Amino acid sequence: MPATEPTPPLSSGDGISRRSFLRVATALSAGVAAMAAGLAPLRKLEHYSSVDEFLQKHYLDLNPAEMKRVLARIEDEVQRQYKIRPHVRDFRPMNGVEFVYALNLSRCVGCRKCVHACVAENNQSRNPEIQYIRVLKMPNDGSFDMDKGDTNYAPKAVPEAGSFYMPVQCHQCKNPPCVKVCPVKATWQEPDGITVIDYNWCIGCRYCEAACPYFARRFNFTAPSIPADKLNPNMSYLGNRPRSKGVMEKCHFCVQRTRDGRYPACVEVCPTGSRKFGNILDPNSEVSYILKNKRVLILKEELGTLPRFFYYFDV
Amino acid sequence: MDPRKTTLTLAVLTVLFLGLAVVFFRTPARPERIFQAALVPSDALAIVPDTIRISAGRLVSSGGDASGLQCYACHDKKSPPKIVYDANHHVVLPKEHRDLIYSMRNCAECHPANDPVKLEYDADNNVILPKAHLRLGEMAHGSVLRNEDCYTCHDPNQLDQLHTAEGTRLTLDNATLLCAGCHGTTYRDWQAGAHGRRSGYWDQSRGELLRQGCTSCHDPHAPVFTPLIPMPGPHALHARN
Amino acid sequence: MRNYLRFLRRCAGVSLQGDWRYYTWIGVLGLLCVVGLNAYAKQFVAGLITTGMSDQVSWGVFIANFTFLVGMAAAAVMLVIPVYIYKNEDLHDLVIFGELLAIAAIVMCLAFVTVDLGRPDRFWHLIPGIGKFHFPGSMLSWDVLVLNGYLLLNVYICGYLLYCRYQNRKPAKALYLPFVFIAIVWAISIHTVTAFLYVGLGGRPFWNSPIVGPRFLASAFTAGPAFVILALQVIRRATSAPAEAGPLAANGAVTPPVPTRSRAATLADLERLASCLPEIATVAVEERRAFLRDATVLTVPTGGILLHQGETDNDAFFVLQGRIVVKRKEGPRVRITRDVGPGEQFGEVSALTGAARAATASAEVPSEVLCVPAPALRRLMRNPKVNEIVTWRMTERLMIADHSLLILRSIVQVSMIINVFLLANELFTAFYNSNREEISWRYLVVGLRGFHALVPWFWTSVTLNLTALTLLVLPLSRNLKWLNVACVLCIFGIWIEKGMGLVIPGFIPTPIGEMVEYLPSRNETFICVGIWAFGLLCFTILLRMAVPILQGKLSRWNEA
Repeated sequence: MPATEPTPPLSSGDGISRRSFLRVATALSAGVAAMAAGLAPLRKLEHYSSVDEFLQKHYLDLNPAEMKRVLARIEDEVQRQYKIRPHVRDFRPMNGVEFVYALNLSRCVGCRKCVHACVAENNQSRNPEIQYIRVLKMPNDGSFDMDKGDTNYAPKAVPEAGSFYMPVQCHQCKNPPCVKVCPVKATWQEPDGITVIDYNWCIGCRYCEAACPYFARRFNFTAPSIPADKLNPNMSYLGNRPRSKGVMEKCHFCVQRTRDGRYPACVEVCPTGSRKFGNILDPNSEVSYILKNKRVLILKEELGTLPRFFYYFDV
Repeated sequence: MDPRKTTLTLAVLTVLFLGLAVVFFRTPARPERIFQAALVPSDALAIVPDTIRISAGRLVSSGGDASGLQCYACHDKKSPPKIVYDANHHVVLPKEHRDLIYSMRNCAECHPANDPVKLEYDADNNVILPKAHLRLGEMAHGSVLRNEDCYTCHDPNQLDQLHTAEGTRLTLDNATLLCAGCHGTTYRDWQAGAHGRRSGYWDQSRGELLRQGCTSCHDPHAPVFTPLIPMPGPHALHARN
Repeated sequence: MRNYLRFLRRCAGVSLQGDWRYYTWIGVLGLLCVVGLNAYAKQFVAGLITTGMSDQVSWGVFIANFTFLVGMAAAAVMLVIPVYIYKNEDLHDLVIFGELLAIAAIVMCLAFVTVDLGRPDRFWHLIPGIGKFHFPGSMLSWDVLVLNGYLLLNVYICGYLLYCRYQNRKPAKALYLPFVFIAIVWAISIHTVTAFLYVGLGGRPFWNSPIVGPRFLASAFTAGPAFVILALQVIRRATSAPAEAGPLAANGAVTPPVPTRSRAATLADLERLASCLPEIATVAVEERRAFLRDATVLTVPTGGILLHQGETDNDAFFVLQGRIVVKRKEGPRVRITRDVGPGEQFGEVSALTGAARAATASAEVPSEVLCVPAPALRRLMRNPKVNEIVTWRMTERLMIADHSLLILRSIVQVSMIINVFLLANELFTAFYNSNREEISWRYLVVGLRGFHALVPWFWTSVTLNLTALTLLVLPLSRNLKWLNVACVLCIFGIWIEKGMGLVIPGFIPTPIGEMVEYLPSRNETFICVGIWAFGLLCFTILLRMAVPILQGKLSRWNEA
């Protein structure tokens, strides 16, 4: 072959000399070493998942025996992390019950006790801070435009003149956009109207957070931190058991209380009694009375979400 | 193909990869905690589901200091106390009742326990009453007719009970029916549950539903709610916001 | 099967070979990949708090890049449509490059989605049957299906076509043509489904508009072919070398050719040809005799030249024995367009079209070729089987002609016009009325309530797009230098428009009116760079394997 024949950079065939193979192999090995070293931060990974948790089936597919095992495992996990043995139960929906929430905008003073009662009851992360309820301070100028709302008000005392206060949380919509978009059905609506999340099934894609028109859903951007002395040990699987990083959570109408027949924490703590909760299928409940007799409104009705959260006024 | 250039390139790459490996291995995986909020912790006391005010009935039943409710310890049964008016013909609540009035307010409704109150003193070392407390101990029931007669509600012949317009006698912890006499629509809402706070069990087959009487939230002498100190709002996840 | 494994092994081997430029490129990409991997490991440990995302802006540059790259992958089909529907053969040899780009782009998309997940270990929840796949309700489930399907389609089509080329076999139409047509429809669908991810959210008025889907496609078909134009020029450059002194000198002069012996062709030669080109066996015996009257057999020693670039003789050649390398001189550089062995042809394009020779053919090893004048070739091609194989093999060369690039330029031009027009529609709708629903547009274009982080991004993208559009519309961009400038402007302008200009404003303000802005963190940026580097690495390695196969340099004839 003529020595001066022009050869393009790409050589044909596999005629590769031992020396050049060694050179390439050395560089390649260094690359692989760098790759392995690049994974060094994983040394600090603390309890990401157990085999049981990884293989756990969806909540709706667990039989009672499996559920018992899962609950026991969760109790073990919580005890290991917080040194407190909780009581984790699986509350099932009650028959003939559909929960509805009503909020009296004539009475809310914006004190945010509901926000913090919820945080305490539902074991939400303190740092980074997760709050299911957002209270909007709205100007009393004749519009309900939420863009005019302010969530960061911090006056010396509330209520402030010329404003009304509108707390927003998950509306447990009858036609929930978040349920529709979840690719793995980790969130669904239960027969009693509560939209729940299986924290061990959620993959953390945050599509539901993008879909919610009420900014109701929260994501654990890192492992939640709850001070052990503030932990609420009365937990439920679908409700207030501590979540892990990378999963979604949201208001679930305090499912560990309401399915036991009690009021949610936000209802109980409200000092002005603005919050109303009950079974709409019971004609004698306060929410039935409100929906029958008061002027109620829902937010973003044009989206067709059919929320179960109604705002009303005293007359 | 220049084998020398190739060797040099591969050598440089090898060194860079190994250097990177060392850097990775030695750099601690400190997660960048971008924002450490100095949060005001949710205070357990401020979010306890207690009412703004403790009614007379609850004060007695809870074993609190109800000595202020022993009217005839100071007053004469034969002669009911005279009502004192100020220059504008507004009722002046007797200052002897002030302790009772204060003790029936739930301080934690406004003051979170982790935010202690700072007392202010005047030149004579007397406590300066904060503006927010000025309404306590005032008589301000109504804005037009203003209820300027104590005996509209209080029974002059039996000071430790109340009476309605038609003369029905009510004990101090049964004031709800008295309020209903004027505030009928609110009373109707309260009975149905649309007004006033409910707690406990909504499902009464499992437990007790707790309703609050009117005087558990509203001081009958100044029923309008005192402004509350709001609890902290949301903190952003990242510091720059 | 054994042959296939050998093919794979050789491909793997060739991907590790190259000159210092190749190693530098691969090495730099590898370094960036490793840095990205380390950044992801940090994110895996700490959670997504290492990014700039928050509850208010819950999707960031990961999903922005994902959206852009789905468009790039879909645009590969822009090469397929002209070739298979409009029968534009000029682009035929470039279809593979578009599909390889699609493969690399889809790999990047899948990587971006994976790093965005909060719990990537739970990906198995997506698998239908084992997990709980929410199909057809959730658009994300549609996206999972169509993206993986598209990846498999392209891997299959490319793999099949390249393997056939390697085996010197004509691909069976039934095994690839239906998939190609499916791929055309599928490509449109992957980007429409991705658009529907956003459009389907009623709570986000910025996205909930019918024009978003068409905007996605228009911008994809601008940026995709623009990238292909740039990539093809890089391939063209990388597959050529500076012309050195030798039989093909830089100034075009040719050293005296080494003597070539020729003789008349015989039936025995045709038999030899038929043994490596079975289609010849379908020719009737009388025709063979007539054919042989004009055909000659040439014996060339190594280095012997059979045709010269630029000349207008019109013989076609079939190789009987040995290997012929066909090189084209492009300016100061030379590249191999074909490397043919027994049974394969060369010179047939100018024989059949009458064009000047596009390249120079010389023997790599002592060879024997059958020389067929053009009329004889045409007569031969009246046989359908011969016609089929010769026509197919006409496309088997690495030409990347300027003409092809100009066809792609037209595609980019029209798509950019449509893209800008659709943006104008959006702006009119947003600003003509004081519609409260369009508040996110206000944030993006002029800022809102004191927040204006995205305004410079928007105006930069508009400037880039309009400049690119102007260049593309002017004949100036027929010049490759200006075309390249326009393409770069397109890609960056559309990246910003689709990324920062579409994904982020949808979240600001939040549905309840909060204003929280977004900026990618350093860790997030490293991961993005790492994934881009990984995608480019995949693309480079795929090209490194595909180009020699397409040239014919890597084929079963030279299995050592």
